[in-house]
Amino acid sequence: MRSARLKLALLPTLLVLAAVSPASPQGVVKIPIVAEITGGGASVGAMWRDAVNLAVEDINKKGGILGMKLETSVQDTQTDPPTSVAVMRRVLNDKPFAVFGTVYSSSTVANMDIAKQAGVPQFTGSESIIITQKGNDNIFLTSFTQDTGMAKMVRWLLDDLKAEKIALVWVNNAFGKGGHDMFVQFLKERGKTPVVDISTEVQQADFTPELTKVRASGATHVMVYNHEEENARFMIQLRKMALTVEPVGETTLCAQTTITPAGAAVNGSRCHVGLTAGAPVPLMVDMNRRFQEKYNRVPDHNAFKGYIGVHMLKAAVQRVGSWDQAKVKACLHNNLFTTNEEAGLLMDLYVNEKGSLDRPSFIVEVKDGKSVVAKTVGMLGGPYNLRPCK
Amino acid sequence: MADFVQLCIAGVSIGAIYAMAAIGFVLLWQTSNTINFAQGEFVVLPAFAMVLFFVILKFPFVAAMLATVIVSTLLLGVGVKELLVTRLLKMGVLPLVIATIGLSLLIRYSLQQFWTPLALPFPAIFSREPIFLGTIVVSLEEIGNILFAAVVIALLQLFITRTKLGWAMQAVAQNRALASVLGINVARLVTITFVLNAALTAMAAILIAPVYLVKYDIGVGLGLKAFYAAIIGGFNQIRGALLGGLLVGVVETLSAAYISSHFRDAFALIILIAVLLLKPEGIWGVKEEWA
Repeated sequence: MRSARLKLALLPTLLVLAAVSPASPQGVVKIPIVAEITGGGASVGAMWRDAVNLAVEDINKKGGILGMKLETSVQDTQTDPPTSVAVMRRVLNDKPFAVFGTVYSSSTVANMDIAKQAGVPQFTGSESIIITQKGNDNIFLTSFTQDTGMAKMVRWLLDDLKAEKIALVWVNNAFGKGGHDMFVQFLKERGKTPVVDISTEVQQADFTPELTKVRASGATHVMVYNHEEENARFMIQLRKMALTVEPVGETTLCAQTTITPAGAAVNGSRCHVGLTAGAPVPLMVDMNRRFQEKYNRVPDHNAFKGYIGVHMLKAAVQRVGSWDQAKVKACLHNNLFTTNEEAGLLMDLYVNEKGSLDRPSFIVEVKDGKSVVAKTVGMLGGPYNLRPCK
Repeated sequence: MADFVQLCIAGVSIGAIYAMAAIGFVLLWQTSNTINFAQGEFVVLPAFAMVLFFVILKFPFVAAMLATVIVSTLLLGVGVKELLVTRLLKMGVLPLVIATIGLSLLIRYSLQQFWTPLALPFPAIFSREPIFLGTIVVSLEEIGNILFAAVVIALLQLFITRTKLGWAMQAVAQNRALASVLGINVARLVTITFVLNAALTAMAAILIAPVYLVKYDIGVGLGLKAFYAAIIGGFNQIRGALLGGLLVGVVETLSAAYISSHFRDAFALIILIAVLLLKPEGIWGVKEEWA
């Protein structure tokens, strides 16, 4: 009788717990990957997918998170924003705990509201400022947004490189437009404007017209802000046209996925990068080695982002102490996470009120087909506080 | 002026590659009334074959090129003709067009799934060292691409105009029934045309791989532009396809430089629409009469 009463008393609690936590009773938590598996962003999506899977494998080997194993599935957006919306709806029907993706900002901007409506935290590889400008407290970036990245970039370009005449070449989509606007804004704050401002298209093959404009502008530096594949073509053609301008860029220009297809053409490029396989950070070196062992290729920044994203989730869930989506989301705002508590974060990071990150970054130069770190740049803001979440 | 000349050279270099793919459209249309919407992928597959033979298996360049042409002609020439065209052509043009769209998707996503979604590097065939002609800077690669394409197209033209097989192809293009009555083996000729097209696209692949990089989806834009080029120049004339290819290449380069990069592709489409309205048979095309 007493046992029956106890069960009756526990029932509402169990029901509430079941409603709060999408973790299945079998001890598995679903975290689907929604990524660019086919289409123009396939190379990007492949890196993201593989790194998320590597992180999940690492975590599961060590017993999972709070005793629960993670389970991924892969859904393809075809690098198409409307398709990403449909895929996101389908994925959310399975009531996952969190969603990993998308990487292309144009897709993320399109699908982030769907995840928000479902209350499912979304970890994205996107960097566009447009994402954080939407005031969505459900989305978490795994890298800087362009306001942080470009602030650091402009500071380095003007203070360290003493760049006088800067040409700006950017891809005309959400990623490129966001970066372009931030770059121009920070330049303007320092009293400068690009000597020439040229947009390009995704999957563009020939850059002769753009390079002709750069040459005519008399630029000393060209800021290249396209996706990796286009950067590779751009750099090959820049060398063919014997332009003496110095190529500088953000992460994508010095990414391995640009260097591999472009070969020697990228040598000499210098970039401010958030994450790089060449970073002299022991945890990143270790992740790099294991990624290469498993997938036989060098991880790029998107791979690091995917890997870190899963560990951001792990760090937050552990700090909350339960699989509660609302608490995990709250914990992931205005909070510092360190590698002492979660080594998979690879570097200490601070998540701000918009879900964007601040963390150390690197200045790299491409030498002999490899990104070589020349300098480590500290966090843009701080010092930050570590806030408990229980 | 130097910039203009340099842009024109770059446009002709890209246009020459479009022209080679466009000529394939024309050849297939003339002899078998086939519109091959997998033409872009007919360039991509040999590009991957070149990566296999030249980069991975380390064949010498000429051997890799020959191996690529052989694989291409067997798979995309004889294979496609026998497995797809022969069976579907009797049902009319539309089922075959749909089948080639399906084939393009099959090739594209098979390469992506079973090889790699990443862009693969491909060594330059011609030196990329810049050549300075006064204030004009061109690369040997651009000049080499133009000359290589010119030689291939000239050889093809010679084959069609100076050999019995070429005359037979022209006869089939003009009137299949009459050609058949005159003892020409039309089916064999169609196979030869497919083989020629496959060889042509393999050559285009060798030129395009160092410029576009080798990626499973580069055929999408290329196939489309070659199709525009063939229509603009004249879908039933090799010289028309050549003109169309060069025109598309030059127009998109000049419009990107002097108007806006955003309208790079739009101008080729504007020309296409204008040609369809004013001279539907294409600039150098010949009006076809339908029985």
